[in-house]
Amino acid sequence: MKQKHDYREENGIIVLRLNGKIMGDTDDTALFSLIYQFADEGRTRVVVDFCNVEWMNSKGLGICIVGSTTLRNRGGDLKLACLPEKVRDLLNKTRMFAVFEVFDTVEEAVASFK
Amino acid sequence: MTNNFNGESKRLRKAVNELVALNNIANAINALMSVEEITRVIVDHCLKRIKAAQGAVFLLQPEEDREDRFRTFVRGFSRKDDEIPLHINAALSGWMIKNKAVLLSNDPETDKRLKGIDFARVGIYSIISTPLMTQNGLIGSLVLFNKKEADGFNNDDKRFLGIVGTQTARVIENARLREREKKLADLEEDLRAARLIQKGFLPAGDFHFMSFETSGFNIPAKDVGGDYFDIVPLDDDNVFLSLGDVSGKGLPAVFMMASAQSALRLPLQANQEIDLPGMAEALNRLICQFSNPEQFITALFGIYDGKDRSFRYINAGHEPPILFHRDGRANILTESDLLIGVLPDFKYTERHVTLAPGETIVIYSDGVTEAFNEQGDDYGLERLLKLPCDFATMSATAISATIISQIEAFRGKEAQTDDITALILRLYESQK
Repeated sequence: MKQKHDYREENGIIVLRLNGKIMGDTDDTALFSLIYQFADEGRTRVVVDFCNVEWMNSKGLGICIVGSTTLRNRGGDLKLACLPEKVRDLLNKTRMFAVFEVFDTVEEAVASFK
Repeated sequence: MTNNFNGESKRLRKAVNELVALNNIANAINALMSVEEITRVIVDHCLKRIKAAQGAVFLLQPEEDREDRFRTFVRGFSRKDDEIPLHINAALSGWMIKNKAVLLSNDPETDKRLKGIDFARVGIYSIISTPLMTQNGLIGSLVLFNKKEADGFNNDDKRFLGIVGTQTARVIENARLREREKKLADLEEDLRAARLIQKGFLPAGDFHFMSFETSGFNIPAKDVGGDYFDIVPLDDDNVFLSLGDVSGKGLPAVFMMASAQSALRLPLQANQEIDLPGMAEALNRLICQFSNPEQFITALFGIYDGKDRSFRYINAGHEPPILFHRDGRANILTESDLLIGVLPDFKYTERHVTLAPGETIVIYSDGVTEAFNEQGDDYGLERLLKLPCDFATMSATAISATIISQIEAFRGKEAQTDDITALILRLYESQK
């Protein structure tokens, strides 16, 4: 079965690529387990790549926030990259730009961890 | 010749004893026993028959990457003072998983197959173990320790244990299936009860006020879901409305829904100005504190006052409500805040819109806009904005019915995957 989201490791940083519509369905909530797994394994630096995301609702945003809190509590962080306009609007509306570090590209986000 | 006869007689006697022992085990087990009871009987019989000090059944845990995949299920002791602390570690369990065969060792300390265990320290001097195999593969092992005879475990013990192992696996598998079926039946009963409770929380019917009317509906998806709506008349021309969508499904979502609804209703009873941002912040702190991090709520709630036609509301991460004018033009009320249950100190902002007579507000859950058809298209906000209603004349009840029929027609044979919930607030043209 094709996974909705995928990830790779780049110089010790996890790049988690989200795909499609992030609206809090079962594939999206499976991200919680994935992030907890990263945290348990000590892989606490994660970049979320939004380049393939069509849109995200507040539940999807909630998942990102919980993921960020989990990783920050373990000394890491979750940063966002490549946000489409609709996701930027959502972050603006909910004042979440103050909570997340956001980058235009995945490369910039990965580099920011060094 | 006499020796041959004696030898044969001895073999026959042994075989008969073996059959008797197996028969005793079969008789001791009945179909109503739990998995634990059955395996205890089997272990106790094996200890007596094979004359071992201790025995246990170990069952395989599903996780692939645990160091010790076996967990002790049942232990048996032949005498109380024979109790030995025991633990099957990676070496023994690894051998069982790999070889799936009976292991007999009367000198485990030097046995190359069992590296890494300090048998002398735990007082184990002989081991015999048989795999428990079903058609799905290895489910565990039956192990006996410390034969009470000087020669240790022998091939007869190996054969007997092998036969018992096969039967034990079958019996455990059947008992597990029975237990699983019972659990499912109990769970379905719980869900049925939860659905009834959930239904009881929702307002029945539509409401008519002096200058407006309301209608609401909730069509649950197959599982018990977490959508709710509430209509609480405050006086004859004032109403509190709320619609919430709790993440997840099943009983946890129902509990959270009930908590949220109660938390929002309580301040309405106090005879004082209703502080909507305060209510949102209190609910948010409650959910952040008492639910697990993956649970959150999107909610839209507020008060409509018929005297000045003002709707004051909080949108906590919920779908934007739609204001329909009499001529069908639609405005999306886009202002919103963060959803509930994520950041405990988030500050909520009250939003406000003033309505004109004949206007309608539709508040809805994402089960409306995210209803999918067989082609994989979602109903979407665009279709909702073009709702085929004559807003000048249709009642709130009729608007509800139109939304329901539109969604059903769009979805076709595609299954409903989320609760469909909506609240309609419709102003009369003039005061009734």
